[in-house]
Amino acid sequence: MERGRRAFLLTSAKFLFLFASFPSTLFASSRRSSYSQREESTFRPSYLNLLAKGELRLRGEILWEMMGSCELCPRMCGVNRLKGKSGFCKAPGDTLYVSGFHPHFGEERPLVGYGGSGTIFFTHCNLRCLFCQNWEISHLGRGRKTSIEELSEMMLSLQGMGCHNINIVTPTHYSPHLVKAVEIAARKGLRIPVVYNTSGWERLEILKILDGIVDIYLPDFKYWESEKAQKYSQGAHDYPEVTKLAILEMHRQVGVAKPDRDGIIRRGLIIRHLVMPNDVAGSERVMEWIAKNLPKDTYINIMSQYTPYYKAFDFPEISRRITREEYERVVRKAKSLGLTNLDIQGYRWFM
Amino acid sequence: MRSLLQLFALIMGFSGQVAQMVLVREFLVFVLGQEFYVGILLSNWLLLEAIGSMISSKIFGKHGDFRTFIILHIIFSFFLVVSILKVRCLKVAFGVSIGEPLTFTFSFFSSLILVFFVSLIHGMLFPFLCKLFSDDFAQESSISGKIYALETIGTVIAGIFLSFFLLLYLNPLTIVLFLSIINLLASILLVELLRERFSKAFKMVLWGIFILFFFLIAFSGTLHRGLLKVQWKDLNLVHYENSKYGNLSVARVEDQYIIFQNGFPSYFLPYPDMTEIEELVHIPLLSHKEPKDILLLGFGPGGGITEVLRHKSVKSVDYVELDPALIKVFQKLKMDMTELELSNPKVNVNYIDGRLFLKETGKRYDLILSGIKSPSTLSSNRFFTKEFFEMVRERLKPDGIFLLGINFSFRYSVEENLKLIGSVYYPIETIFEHVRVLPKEKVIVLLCSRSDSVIKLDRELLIQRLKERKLTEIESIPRYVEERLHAGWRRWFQFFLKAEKGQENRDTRPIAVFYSILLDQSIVSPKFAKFLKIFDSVSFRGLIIILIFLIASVLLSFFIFKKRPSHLINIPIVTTGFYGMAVELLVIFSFQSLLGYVYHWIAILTSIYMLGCATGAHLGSISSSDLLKARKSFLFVEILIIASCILFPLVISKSGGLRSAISINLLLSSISFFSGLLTGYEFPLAVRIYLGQQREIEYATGILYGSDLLGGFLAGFFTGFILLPVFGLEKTFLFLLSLKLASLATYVIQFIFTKGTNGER
Repeated sequence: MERGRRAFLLTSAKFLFLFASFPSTLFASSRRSSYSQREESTFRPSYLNLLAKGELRLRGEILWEMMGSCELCPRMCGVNRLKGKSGFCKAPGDTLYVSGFHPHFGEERPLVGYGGSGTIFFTHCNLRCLFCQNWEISHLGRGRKTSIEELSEMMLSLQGMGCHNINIVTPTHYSPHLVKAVEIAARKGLRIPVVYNTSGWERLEILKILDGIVDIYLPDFKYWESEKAQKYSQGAHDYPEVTKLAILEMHRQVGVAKPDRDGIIRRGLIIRHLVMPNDVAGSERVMEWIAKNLPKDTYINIMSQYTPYYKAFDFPEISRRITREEYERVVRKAKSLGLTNLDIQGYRWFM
Repeated sequence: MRSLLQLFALIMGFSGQVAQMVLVREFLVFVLGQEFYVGILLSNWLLLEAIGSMISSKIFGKHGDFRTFIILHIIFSFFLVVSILKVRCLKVAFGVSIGEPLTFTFSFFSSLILVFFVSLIHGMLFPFLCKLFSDDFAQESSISGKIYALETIGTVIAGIFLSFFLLLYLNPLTIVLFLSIINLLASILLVELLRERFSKAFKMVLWGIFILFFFLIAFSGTLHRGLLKVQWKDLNLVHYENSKYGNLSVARVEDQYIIFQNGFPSYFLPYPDMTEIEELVHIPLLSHKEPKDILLLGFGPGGGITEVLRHKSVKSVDYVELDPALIKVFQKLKMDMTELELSNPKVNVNYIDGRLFLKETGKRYDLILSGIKSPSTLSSNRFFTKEFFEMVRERLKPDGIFLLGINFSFRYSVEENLKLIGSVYYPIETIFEHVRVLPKEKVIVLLCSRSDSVIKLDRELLIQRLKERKLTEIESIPRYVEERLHAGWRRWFQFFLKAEKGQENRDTRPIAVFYSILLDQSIVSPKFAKFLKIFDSVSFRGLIIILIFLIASVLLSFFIFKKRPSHLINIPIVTTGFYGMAVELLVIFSFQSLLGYVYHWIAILTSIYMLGCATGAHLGSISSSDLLKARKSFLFVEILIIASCILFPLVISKSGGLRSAISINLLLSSISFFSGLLTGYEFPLAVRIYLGQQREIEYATGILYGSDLLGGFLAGFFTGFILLPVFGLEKTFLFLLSLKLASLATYVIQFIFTKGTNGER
């Protein structure tokens, strides 16, 4: 065991040199190690079809060009990121920054399985919520400069470690980088699905370009009312309308998330909804909309962990935790609407 | 007249200390309890005092009069009150939110804005007072030594008075208004005594200002509450208190309470993070076959104890909390949950330092749960060292379990994160045979035991025990519990850590403090983190070479710019200022490691040090009557300081082996006193040597007082945050030894150059 680990460390040396600041990059060459216990699956990620047709590269190029007058997200700042300009998201031009990557065992159970969800955290964010718990990454952009090639290596190493998917967190403003890296990684043997872990605030035009690349969409549905989105997410007043259309499009592309026989989800839509104090999120109405517009077995994760972070104390209505009643009300509503595929975290262990 | 000037010296010391401590408390809330930034504030304070002292020598050295002296007191009083306004309004003015973490730049400049005029003017007063004294009592030698001693006594009185009375019973605004009134009252006395030297208008203005401040004090309560409203914005503050250990503020948001400890939101009631508390309590309790005796360190009320008591096998819960004020707050809020927790007959509340409790208790526990999550200060780091873990192991029954949580950023996986976790994990690994790792977004939990029960716990066993204990009928556990038990985390952690064999966090080398600061700064201020990182890579030998190079450069510049050789005395004064502050910090640190944090003793130790300073300054004044004698005495004191740098670490390491707390107290108090004595002794001697036969006393005192403070400023920053954590206790003393040896060399050079002369070349 000890010798095996030593050998593992030696083979990691080259990659470690490249990513000195990422301890987790030690995993890099583990695709050659015995760590991987990934079950063989008949699953074939959709991006392979586009790769075979030579379209994957083209899609990457189209998205990349869009950074010339950036319209990757609904803010549509129009800045020339190719010339190093930063828009609302504060991403430094076309340079990608990553704050960390590793197997994650705390995501939704069907994404984690045995080998974990291969999470890659992108820095910066186009939504910039005032209560963000990861403000150091989303607002301050702390992370390490990463090339497309390095990103593709990360994907391959996560696959090597037995992860069931590549889970890209906050990809919206870096979608060109994502697609380009998938193209390189797919050529080198990437065979696990890409999870697009987003705030939900996505432009239809961009989602259409991602059609056939992403197998699992993991959007949030944060607010029902545009006033709330405007207030807490820095002027994103069109969040509810844009997100509704985006979720419908995502569903059209990948359908309902259903686990394979091994319990792992490899394709489909998973919606996350964070219950907020004083019904700031409009939770019951969000559930109503889902029940009305999507199949009843749509996977919905109702989250209860809201805690005031960052600038939340400036707003008394979101300066507290949610109560048990607030959470239960949303769950009851969802159940009463006939929604069957609910991931209920439970407000208390001993409910 | 003489007594009045002496009274001014006392008031000066008193005012400086009170102002500093009040502003430190306010600033601690401002920076959300991050003591690192308080270190920055204190360093800025000393630096500005040093600058003030030097400016004062230049400007008022020849032309200073009583009128200007009093005006300085008025300005000091005014800005002291303004500084409270500033600390409460600064964040609002810059649009920074209540709970928002601050960058290094913002904190640095805020601390500067806060103390700028107060410390600058306070620094000006010392040489000014020396000048006024020498104008009227020119025949007396060693005036500065006497004033230095009196000022120090004022500081001691302030320390005791403030810690045990003022801070506990008065709000900060009232305290500074009182302080201003004392300063103004002394000024009025002076004016009345020297009536002929002041115009009528001047007197009227002074009286006017005095009455204004008196008027303000009547409304200080209302003003204080008004300022709190500004500071806490829209939050409804229902409780505000400065306890001995820090600030406790409670905000009410609808039916919930948020308890802020030093500005940081620590408790949410009655809806605490139950998912977290349940995990921190139930996972370890369910790992144990039959938990009976539980020890909770700094964590429990507000849900934790309730969850522990659900396990019927539990017979006793010892809850250890340092600050009784926190429990009083819980009681005041009358939350049913905490009321029931604290009144339960199985629960014993102990108001004591956690380490001290562990040292003294003879009891053995099935579970010890620590609620202290960040080793970012020297005080909290004591709960993350190898020595502490050994102590915990001794207090656990053979199958006992220890739970430790460490703040951790899962998404931000940088080298600093790894080093911090590693420095705590490696010693744990050597002490406990089995360690289970349960990471989450913001915290990483380690379950440590000699028994393999912590490893064996899985989903099935957990459900089985839940049923055995009749806790639930559930067939499956919630997702957030299940995800913690995932076997993947163990593999992840092994690979996460094995990248680099880091350094172990020890009592005598609290490296985790440095890594914590490095990690925090890498998030808020990456450039400053890069600077700090240099110290992580520089070797001790390298540090000494840099030091010698620095001293040699200063020496060279003296000769290049043809300064008077007697002015070289500045170098030993800077290094002694460094030595004094560093030794005091090391003594307090050692005290906390050996005996635990005992508020009264820490305050007493500081007072003993200051008394040593005052005694030394007095003795030095006597020895400085003759120039040659002063020179010889100075050499003698320098050699004694060097000897103490060898002796003190030996004494500290020996005192670790002592059983009796009184012996340890005595030894550490002696070190405090003697280091103070030596530091204080040098000052009047240095003034004498600096002057030679000249009489420009105020100039010399300004420069030397400034040098002394500069040394203190450097030590305040480097010792606590860099030298001690990175290089350890022994090497820090070795550094002090090298520093003093190098400065002795400069003294010997000036001694040779000026021998037999009057200080002129």
